[in-house]
Amino acid sequence: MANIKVNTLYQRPITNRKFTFSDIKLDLTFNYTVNNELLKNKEIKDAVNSLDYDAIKNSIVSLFTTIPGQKLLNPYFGLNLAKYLFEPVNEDIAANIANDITHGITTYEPRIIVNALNVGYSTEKQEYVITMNISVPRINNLAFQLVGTLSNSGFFLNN
Amino acid sequence: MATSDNNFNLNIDDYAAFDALSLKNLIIKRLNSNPVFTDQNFEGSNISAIIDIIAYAYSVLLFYLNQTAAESTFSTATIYENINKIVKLIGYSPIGYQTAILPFKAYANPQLPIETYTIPRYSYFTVNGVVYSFNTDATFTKTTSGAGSEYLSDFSDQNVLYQGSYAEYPSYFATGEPFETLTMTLVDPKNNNIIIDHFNIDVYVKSTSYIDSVPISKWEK
Repeated sequence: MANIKVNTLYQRPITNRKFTFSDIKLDLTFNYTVNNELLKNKEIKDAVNSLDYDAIKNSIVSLFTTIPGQKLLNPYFGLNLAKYLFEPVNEDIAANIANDITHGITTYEPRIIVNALNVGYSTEKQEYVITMNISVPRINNLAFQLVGTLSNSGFFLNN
Repeated sequence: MATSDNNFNLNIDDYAAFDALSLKNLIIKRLNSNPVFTDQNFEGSNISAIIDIIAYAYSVLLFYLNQTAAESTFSTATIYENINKIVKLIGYSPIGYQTAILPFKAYANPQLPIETYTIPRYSYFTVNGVVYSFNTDATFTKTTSGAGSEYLSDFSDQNVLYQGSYAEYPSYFATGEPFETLTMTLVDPKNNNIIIDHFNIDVYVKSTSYIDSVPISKWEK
């Protein structure tokens, strides 16, 4: 019996990824693969991902907003910035915060390099403004700046 | 050994060998073999947090599965109610909770005259149908009189009660054979536990001495 192979129907596996880092997006919305019409019934639904810059941003925010002990299987993870809640807002505490950030990022976020870190403080607003210039060697030295505010309400990214 | 029934290269009973950390490592390993996610390797990522929750929940559920499974057999059950239920299946009816010792607080009634009193050993109280006994002589002294009851602190601190009542076994006279064995016949009509108070088994030996060729016998404890 003769076999007929129609190569145009062959679904090529995805071999060249268009991203370096991929994290799940906590919105947990569905994404769809795009298949040709013939293989439409094999359409794969999967969760939407955060890629590269967004994935790294997720990790940094997690690091800043986690208190050690909160992550169930790694009780050392987190910066514990909440410990400065009842401390005065001044230059010394800002320097301590900068040290904590440097140590935390070096330990838990090896993908990035912090080229510049500035922790500014405002005694009037009772808050610190944290500015980080970051580069990611594995994504073609992708460089970006993150600016966040640390106050008695917690840590929030401004950009 | 159970055979593999899936495409995860795991035996079907391997689930029992995982704890939270080893399951987390397995999930990360399997995600690494697939190109969709990469950030499972970084502790700060969202997917790492989700993996932690799944692995920890798995670990907790497995703990309870193990606990409940262990409670279903007599040799591994630890909770009294479960042991009770299991042994009832073979016709054994436990009498319920039985205290080893029962500390108590004793107060003397104001009408009780000032004096020293001794409650003989094996005296008992019945509280809500449950009998509690002393196994030694218990002595207390009433020192005050007047209104109000007196707390007998020494008496309360130095004595305990035991659940159950004592019965004296009939006297047995030895025949004099070496290594004579007494087989005690115990009747337990209420199917209660019988505990032999072996510290209070009294053995008397009859000795005979002669004074002026006259035999004089006496019993010594």
